Amino acid sequence: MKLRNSLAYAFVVSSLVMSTAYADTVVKVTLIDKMGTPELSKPLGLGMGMKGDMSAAKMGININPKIAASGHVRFDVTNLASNLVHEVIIAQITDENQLLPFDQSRNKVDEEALRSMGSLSEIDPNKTASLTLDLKAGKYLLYCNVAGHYMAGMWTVIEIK
Amino acid sequence: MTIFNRDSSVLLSRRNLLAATAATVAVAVSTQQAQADEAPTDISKLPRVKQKLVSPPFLPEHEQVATTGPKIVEVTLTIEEKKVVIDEEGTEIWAFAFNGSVPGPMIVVHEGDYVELTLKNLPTNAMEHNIDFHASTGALGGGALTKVLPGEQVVLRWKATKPGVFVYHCAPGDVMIPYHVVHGMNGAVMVLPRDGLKDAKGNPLKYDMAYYIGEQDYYIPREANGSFKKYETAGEDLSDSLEVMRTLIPSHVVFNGKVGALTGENAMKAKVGDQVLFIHGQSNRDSRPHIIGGHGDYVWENGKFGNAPDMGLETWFIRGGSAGAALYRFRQPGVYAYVNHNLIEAVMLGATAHIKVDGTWNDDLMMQVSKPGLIKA
Repeated sequence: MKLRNSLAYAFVVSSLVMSTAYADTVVKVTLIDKMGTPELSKPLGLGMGMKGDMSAAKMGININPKIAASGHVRFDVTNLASNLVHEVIIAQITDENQLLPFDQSRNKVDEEALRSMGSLSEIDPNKTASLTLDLKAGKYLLYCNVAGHYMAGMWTVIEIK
Repeated sequence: MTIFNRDSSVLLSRRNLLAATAATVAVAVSTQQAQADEAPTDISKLPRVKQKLVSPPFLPEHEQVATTGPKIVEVTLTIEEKKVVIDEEGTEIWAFAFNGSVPGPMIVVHEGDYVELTLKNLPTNAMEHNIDFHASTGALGGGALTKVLPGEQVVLRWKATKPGVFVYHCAPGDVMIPYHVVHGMNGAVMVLPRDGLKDAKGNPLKYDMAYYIGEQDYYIPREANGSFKKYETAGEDLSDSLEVMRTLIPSHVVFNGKVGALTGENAMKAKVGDQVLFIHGQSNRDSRPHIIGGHGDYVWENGKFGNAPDMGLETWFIRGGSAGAALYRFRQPGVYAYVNHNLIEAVMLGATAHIKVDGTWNDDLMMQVSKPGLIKA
């Protein structure tokens, strides 16, 4: 009987430990797209570190919270655009004022030159997609690299502590 | 025209032929009537008036009987995505509000008038919006012609050809249609007959005041511990909300945006003898208004003034996606509760309003003959 009780106790304790270990921090991410018929053939100059007028940005990424604890972080991404498919790439950065390597001709960030942690591609309008990453302390960029979208303001930075 | 016969192989008898002729005449008459509705008007000659919209439960200033011919009624609806508190516990929702209120304002016109709407989507909003007027005629109730992104505005004009009370709501497509509607994005239009409201015999009916009760079902997501979730920005709750909406079980059913919006200090007011018109709209879900201690003297249960009103109702039914109207003359003073008579929704989910009626009590209608006391043997 004693053994049975202690086994049950051990089981309860281990499941508590497990659930604590796997309780993800959840970051709600919304993709904002107020572009009507986007003129995105040329970069709009609203990328990170470019000191563009972000209040004029018609594309963007909102996150909540903006600071999260290190470990398992689940990104729940909702595309609030009415028409366009978007994506989210999460990459580690050292400085949120840095200029990203950019391919002008393709109007895209040079993904290969960044330390990418993971991505969610082709999120349809009104749809949600989730991604869980094991993140260490530092700063991470979330951006959409559909041509022109990053330079239209579709990026944000999350701090992991 | 197709003539349906019980046995299509049988040649038409004389009697059948006569019936067929009568049917043809009836169709011709109704076609003429329909064409009169559809006849284009030279609107450049019509007078224009701006209607100043007000927050529910109030209605904009209007005439019950039109004193002029048809006109163009200009209205503006500005869409605002805003965080609102919906109960005493501080539960929040990011509402999508026409002119900042849940429900959106009532628009009042007469049959044959034109509604010219300027719809603005504030640049600070996150989502595309539009509007579907149930009172209008044309694809999607104007939905396809009114899609506006944040920072845009659009102008839509439609002719009010059907008299009655009707809902309007946002319908941007896909799951966003119910999502926007259950985030408060709905309102109502009243199209009065040019010669005003009438009873079944055609006698005119007047109201001393009118109130618009917009019923709203909310589906607020919960945390694992059961408390209601809060969100930092509009739209963040989409996937959580869709999950709750799928259960069809609302967390709140309220009048005018929040629990208590029309009770206590905010109660609707009337005096004994006042004829009060109550317009009840529900854009998503069925409801059953009831005035506790009163009735509906004349009730357009389906809200359409082309039909004779029912008389003396205790409770009336509002189909989800419609509005209804009830006229009642208060005979006794007191605080009346106006409820959705699913009493669970009224008392536990929030669907209760109050009407404070001043005046003198009529013992003939009701009196307490003896006070409560011990049961006599």
